[in-house]
Amino acid sequence: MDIDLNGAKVIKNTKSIERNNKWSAFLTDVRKNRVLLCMLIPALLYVIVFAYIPMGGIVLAFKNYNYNVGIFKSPWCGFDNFRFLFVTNKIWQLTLNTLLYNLVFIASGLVFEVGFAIVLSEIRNKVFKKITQAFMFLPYFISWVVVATIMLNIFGSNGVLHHILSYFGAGDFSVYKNTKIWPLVLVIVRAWKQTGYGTVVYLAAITGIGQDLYEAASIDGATIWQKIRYITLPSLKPTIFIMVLLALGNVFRGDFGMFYQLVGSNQLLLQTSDVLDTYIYRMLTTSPNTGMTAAAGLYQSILCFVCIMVANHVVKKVDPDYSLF
Amino acid sequence: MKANFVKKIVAVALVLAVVGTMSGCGSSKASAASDPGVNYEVTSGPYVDKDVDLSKHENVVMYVLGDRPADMDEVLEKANKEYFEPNLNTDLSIEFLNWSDYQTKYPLLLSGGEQVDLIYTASWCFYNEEIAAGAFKELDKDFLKKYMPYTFEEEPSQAWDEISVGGKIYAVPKGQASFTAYDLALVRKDLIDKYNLTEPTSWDNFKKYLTELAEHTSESGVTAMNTNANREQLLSMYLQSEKIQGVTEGYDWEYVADNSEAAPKQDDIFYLYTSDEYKKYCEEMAELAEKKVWSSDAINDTTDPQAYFENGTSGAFVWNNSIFAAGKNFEDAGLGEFAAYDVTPDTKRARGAYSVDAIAITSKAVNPERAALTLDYMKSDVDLNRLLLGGIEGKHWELTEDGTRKTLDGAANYGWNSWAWAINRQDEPAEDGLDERQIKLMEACEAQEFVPEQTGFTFNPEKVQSQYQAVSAVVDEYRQSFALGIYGDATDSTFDTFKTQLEAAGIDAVTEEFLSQYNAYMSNR
Repeated sequence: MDIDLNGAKVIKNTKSIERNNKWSAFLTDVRKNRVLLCMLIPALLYVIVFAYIPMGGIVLAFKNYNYNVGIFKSPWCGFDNFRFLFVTNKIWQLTLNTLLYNLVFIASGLVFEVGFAIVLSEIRNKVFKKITQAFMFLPYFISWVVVATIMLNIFGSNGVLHHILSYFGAGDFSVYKNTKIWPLVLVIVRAWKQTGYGTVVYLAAITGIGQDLYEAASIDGATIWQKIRYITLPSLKPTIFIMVLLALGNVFRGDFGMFYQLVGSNQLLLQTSDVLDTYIYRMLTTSPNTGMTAAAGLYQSILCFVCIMVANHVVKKVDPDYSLF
Repeated sequence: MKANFVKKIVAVALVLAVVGTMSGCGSSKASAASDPGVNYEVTSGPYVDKDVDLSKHENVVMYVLGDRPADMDEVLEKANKEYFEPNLNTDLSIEFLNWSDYQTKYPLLLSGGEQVDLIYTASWCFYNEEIAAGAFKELDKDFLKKYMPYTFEEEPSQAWDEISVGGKIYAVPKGQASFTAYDLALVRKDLIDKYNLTEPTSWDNFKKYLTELAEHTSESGVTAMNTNANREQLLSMYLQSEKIQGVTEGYDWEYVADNSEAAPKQDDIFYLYTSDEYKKYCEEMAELAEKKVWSSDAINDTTDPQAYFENGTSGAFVWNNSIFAAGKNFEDAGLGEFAAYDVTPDTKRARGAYSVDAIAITSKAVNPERAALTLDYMKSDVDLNRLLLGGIEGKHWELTEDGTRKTLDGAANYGWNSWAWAINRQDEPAEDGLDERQIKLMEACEAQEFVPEQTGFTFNPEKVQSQYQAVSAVVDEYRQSFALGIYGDATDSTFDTFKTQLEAAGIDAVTEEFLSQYNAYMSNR
């Protein structure tokens, strides 16, 4: 609300004669900012084409889809498509799994990404900084398929680590046999792969903090830790909130690529690392059904929607400046 | 002013770029076929005196599974120029769905806006599911007679029976069925000699061979059966050894046939994954895993076991007669000598159903009549058929005096029948200079052929869809883990959990539906 009022005030102040007429004011505004507005078009088109138009497909979740008659003429079938999700009680466990994994990923991601961004920003040696950043960024470009193969060849029972350990007399080692540590393995592998990318966002935010603040702090005799604690972290707060809120919007969607590739069909590991997406994949891969797929997607979307609304509401209550909308 | 102009240009260019990439997704590849404007007057050929309308030029697009052969364009050009254009006034283009992602692409292709007139399908490749979704055109006898005149006569009646669902035909099956559902063992002859191993002449001896070989792994560097999770190599062989036969292709209800062709009684049919027979299989697999016949990480491996055999790191590879291709590659690499065994010589074997390879006309086909004619032509004209199957005669293959076909150097770019399994003919020439080991085993297969009475029955899980999906999910969760015996001593208790979960998912209701459809089918015969 505040933002709107401020915006209106700005327009009032800058607008000249035509300000009584809202419509022409709008047109002038458009004309004046036409280049900026043009730059908005790609993003707008993206959202319309890939988010708003496909939303019409939600009806598929309630239809017995038939190619011959198309989406809208297919017969309605009520909630039949959802039944397959709830035939077994597994769905609750999986929903919880997905939620908890994602919450841990968000938390660990936050710690690593902000941490490394601060460390990188404090490094003065430019060459070292660039090389470190490049190596951190590299895993982000490796596909999960390749990561899975690398994992197997390092941590598997025929892997490098096994050979090194057995050389020193340690017994059989394979991370794939130890099912209990898999939640941890997933968190570590994910952190290794994603930290580089996330760091860039926070690094950009840190670059945006005025140098005068740090200089003033130095003059007052602040140590490096005090500068991080009292300048960098508080300045990063808005970025952190936005990133976390955005991540919460997908909190009921498992990272299919990661879980499917790393865990695969190893049922021992699935006991602790099965998520909604892999389960739905297993259900529908043998017998694909458009309606049921849509139903599963809608189930996840609704949960995500509720989650982000609640989170945003809470953030707004605490500090309206940090909320998304 | 000038800067502003540049900005505008850049903005517009950006927008165009984005819009361009978006529309790029939708543009159809169908136009790859030659100029649609050219109209050929059909004055000769096999269809000129048939009562069909060939006055308008059409493009027909066919989708098949596999990797596009390097010389595909050349072969297609020849086929279009010499056959389809002059005799059918049609241009055919063929698109490929790769093995790696056909499962996701296939349903999308049929629901999307692309032109698809003909598409490969099979009992294991969405045939029943897509019929339920209305993706395939129903082919009644009149339509077949008129638009597929030659195929209608040549196709064996058993083939039409097997492809029918609920008495209706939705695809045209292949013209020749082979023993694709019968598994053989490919093993290392050189290692048998070197370590004096048991010859795998029976299921028990095969297991003995594997465990003996496993004892030498650290010395030989060969894993007894280097395998991965995606291919359950031993299940069908185990079922063969127990003389267990599936009631119908693609679904997991079985009965002990014991070499009898009589249709099973209702009480003899059981669901594989809850049966004691399956439990015994799980225990045997756990035993093999315990003896390190395969790596304990095989479950997380994704390398194809055929590649493992071919590069000499696997002591066994189990599949249908395709094993000989692996054996040949292995020997060509100079790594050793292979031997092939029929591990279950006393078991009668069914030919793979005709319905395991077929071509359907989609319900969105631009001109279904012309698509049918095109398919008919491909299947009925011997020269055209061989051109599509094996490439250009004289470049990719040639006929010998005995009527067998010889592979030429060009075959590297167009291997014989790498994608056209669904349009093959009974008079397909056999490969020249076949490995003697292969001929011997194939003759044994022919001699042991049996055709179960219930052949032609298929199951439609539509009424129990929710339960069926839930059951599939449970089976998919455990199946590969049992196959690789990862539970060790806990196999029995895990099996009990598995069985309980299947029951909770509603397997009993699905089995009941299966049996009622089976009974209805049998009483109508």
